[in-house]
Amino acid sequence: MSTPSAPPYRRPPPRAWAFVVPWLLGLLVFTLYPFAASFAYSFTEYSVLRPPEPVGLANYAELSGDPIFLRALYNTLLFAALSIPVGVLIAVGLAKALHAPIRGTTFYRAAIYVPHLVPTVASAILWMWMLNPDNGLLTSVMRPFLDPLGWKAPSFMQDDRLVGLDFKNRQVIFGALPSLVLLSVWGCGQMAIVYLAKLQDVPQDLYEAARLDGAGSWDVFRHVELPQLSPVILFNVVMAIIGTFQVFAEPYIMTGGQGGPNYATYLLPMFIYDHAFDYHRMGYACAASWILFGLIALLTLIAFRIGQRRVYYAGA
Amino acid sequence: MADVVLKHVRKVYPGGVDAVKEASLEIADREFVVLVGPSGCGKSTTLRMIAGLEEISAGTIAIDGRVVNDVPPKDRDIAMVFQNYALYPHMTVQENLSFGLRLRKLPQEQIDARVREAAQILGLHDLLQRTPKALSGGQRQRVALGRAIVRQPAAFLFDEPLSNLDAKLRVEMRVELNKLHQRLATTMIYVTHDQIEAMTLGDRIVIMSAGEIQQVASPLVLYDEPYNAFVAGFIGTPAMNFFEGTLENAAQGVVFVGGSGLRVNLPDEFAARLKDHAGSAVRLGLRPEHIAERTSARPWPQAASYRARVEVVESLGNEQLVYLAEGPHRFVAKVDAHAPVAAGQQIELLLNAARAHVFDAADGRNLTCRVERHLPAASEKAAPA
Ligand SMILES: Nc1ncnc2c1ncn2[C@@H]1O[C@H](COP(=O)(O)OP(=O)(O)OP(=O)(O)O)[C@@H](O)[C@H]1O
Ligand SMILES: [Mg+2]
Repeated sequence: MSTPSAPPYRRPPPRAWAFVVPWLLGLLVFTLYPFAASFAYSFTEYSVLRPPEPVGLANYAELSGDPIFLRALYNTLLFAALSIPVGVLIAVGLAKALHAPIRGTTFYRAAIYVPHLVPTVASAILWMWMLNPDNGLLTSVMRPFLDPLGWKAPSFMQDDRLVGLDFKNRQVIFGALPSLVLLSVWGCGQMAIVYLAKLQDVPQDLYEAARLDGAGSWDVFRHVELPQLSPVILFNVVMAIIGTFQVFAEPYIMTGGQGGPNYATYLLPMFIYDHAFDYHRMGYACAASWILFGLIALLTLIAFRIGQRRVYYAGA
Repeated sequence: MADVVLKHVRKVYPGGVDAVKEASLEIADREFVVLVGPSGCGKSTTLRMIAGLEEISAGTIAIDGRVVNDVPPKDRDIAMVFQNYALYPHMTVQENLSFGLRLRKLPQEQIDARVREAAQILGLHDLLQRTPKALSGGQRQRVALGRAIVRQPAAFLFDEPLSNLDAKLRVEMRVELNKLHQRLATTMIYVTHDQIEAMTLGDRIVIMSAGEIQQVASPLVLYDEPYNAFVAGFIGTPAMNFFEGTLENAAQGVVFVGGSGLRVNLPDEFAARLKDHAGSAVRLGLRPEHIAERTSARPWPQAASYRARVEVVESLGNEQLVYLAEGPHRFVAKVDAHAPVAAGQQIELLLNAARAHVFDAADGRNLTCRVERHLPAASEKAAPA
C-alpha cells in the first residue's frame, strides 16, 4: 500500500474560523473547563453551596481509607475483570457460529445486534423483570430443572454473593454483580458483528492452505482466524475498559440507586454521583473521578503494551 | 512420487454450473503436466478436485494407485501453491515453512533440517525471520514454493503461481520451476492460462475448454498436430489463420477452394482421408510462419501462390507481422524482417501447403491430424533415471 502524498499546505481563509469556533467553544466550555476544574476541585472541600476551600491532598488521603470507596473500587475492578473477558469470548464464539454456512444467518445477525439498540434504561428495567427471583423469566426457565431436585433458583439482584452452590439452603447462587455482568454481556452482539465482518475478510485461500497443511478446525481458528481478529479484539478490549469503568445507569436503576444489596453492585461512578450530588462533597467526588481516570488510563496503557506484542496488524 | 489418474471426473457446482463435464487423464510419476485454457474453462476446478478442496461430483481420482475421492486434502500427500501465495501473514517465513510439519508433529530436528534445505534451494536464508508483508512478490512466491517443498509431497499442484509477478520475474521463476522439477523429480500439475508458460514448462499439456479436455500432448505435438480448431487457435501467437472454403477432388489430388482465387493443393498423404469430404464446408488452417512474401521466401517443396493486399505491417526487428486481406479472407503472415512489404500494396505470397490443416467446419475436428486426442506420457520420462 502506497501512502498518498499530502497536498501542499495552504493557509485557510479567515472565514474558516466561523465553522471551527462553535465547536471549539463547546469543547472549551463543556469538556476542557470541567476537566481542569474537577482537577482543581479535587484538592478542595467544596459543598457547591459555599465557595471551595483548599485542603491539599486531604481528599485523596481520605479516599485511601474510605471502606465504601475501596469496596466500590473492588466492585468496579471485579466487574471489569468478569465482563470484559466473558464478553470477548462470547462475542468471538457468536461470530464463529454465525460465520458457519447455516441458513438464516441474516436473522441471527439482526437478533444478536438488537440488544445494542435497546436504550440502557429500557434494558435495565427489562432485566429487572427477567431476573425477578419470584416470577422472572430466568427463574421460570430454571424451576422445572431445579424443583425436582429440591433446589431453589438464584435470587439474582437480591443476593450479595457471586456464583456457586449454597448446600445449606439448597440454592444456586448467582448474585447481583454477576447479574450485572450478564446484562453487559447481553449487549456484546455489536462486538460479535465486528468480529464476524473481520472473519469474512479472511482470504479463502488461507483456509485452504491451512487445510492442506493439515490444520484441524481448532488449528485454523488458533493460527488463521485469531491472528486476523486480534487487532479488533484489542480495540474492543480498550473500548470495553473505558466503558465498563463508567457503567452507572444499569446498577443505579436496578438497585433503586442503592448499589445493593450490601454494596454488592456499588460501582465507582455511583460513589462519585452520591458524593457529588447527594452528600454535597464535590471535591471528594472529583478526587474519586481522577482516581477512576488514572485507573482507566493505566489499564488502557497496559492493554496497548500487551497488544503491541500480541496483535498482528495487516498492511501498515 | 506418484502418478495421478482421473477417470471420467465431473464437477457440477451447487447452483448447477457444469464446471468440468468430463475429464480423464493419466499423469505419470515425475511428470510435469500443465493444464491450460481460457478463463472459466475449469482448470482450477480440476486442480482443486485433485487437491481435495472441491468435492468430485462423479468419476474417480487416484493418487499413487489409491482412490482419494473421500480422502481429506491433508492425507492426499500433495502440496499446493496458490496464485495469491496464501502465506500466513502473522508468521515469519520460518514459521510459514514449518507450520505444516509442526502440525504433523514431526521431530524438531527433522523440521529444522527440511526448512534449512528448502531455504537453501530457494535462496530464502536471509529472509527466514521476516513476515510476508516485508517481502517482495517474487520472494513471497518462493516462500509459498518452500512451504510446498518442505512437505516432500508425492505431487505438487500449482494454480497460476506466477500470474501476480511482473514479466521479467515470471521468466526467471519459470526457469527456476523447471530446475526445481528436475531436482525434486516429483509429479507436478500446473494450471495457467499463459501458453508460453505451458509450452516451456510442460512435459505434456492438457488443453481445456468449456469444461472438457480438448487435447493432451507434448508441446511440439500440440503445436504441429492440433486435434481441433480450438486447440489450433489457442496455441501459437499470432494465432493460426483460418480460411473458409470447400474441398474438391481434382486430377492433382484434393484441393482446398476458398474463393477470391485461393486454391491450395493438399498433400497426397491426406488424400484418402479428405476424399470423402469433397463438397463439404471446411476451414483451412495455416500458421502465420507458413505464409511468406514470395521474393524473400525459403523454398517450400509444396507451396501455393496467392495475392493479397497489405493492411498493416508490424516490424518486430527479427521479423515482420503482415496483416493481409483479400475478398472474405483476413489473415496474418510472419515474414522475413527485410521483405519488401508496405501497407496498401498488393503482394505475392507463398503458402506452405505441407503444413496446412483442414478442419471440419461443423464440429471443428482437424481432418489432417496425425495423432490421437490423448497421448500418454513419453515412456522415457516415466521410467526412473
Ligand atoms: N465455487 C463455485 N461455485 C459455482 N461456480 C463456480 C465456483 N467456482 C468456479 N465456478 C465456475 O466454474 C467454472 C470453472 O471455473 P474455474 O475456476 O475452474 O475456471 P478456470 O479455468 O480456473 O478459470 P481462470 O483462468 O479464470 O482461473 C466457471 O464458469 C466458474 O464461474
Ligand atoms: Mg483458475
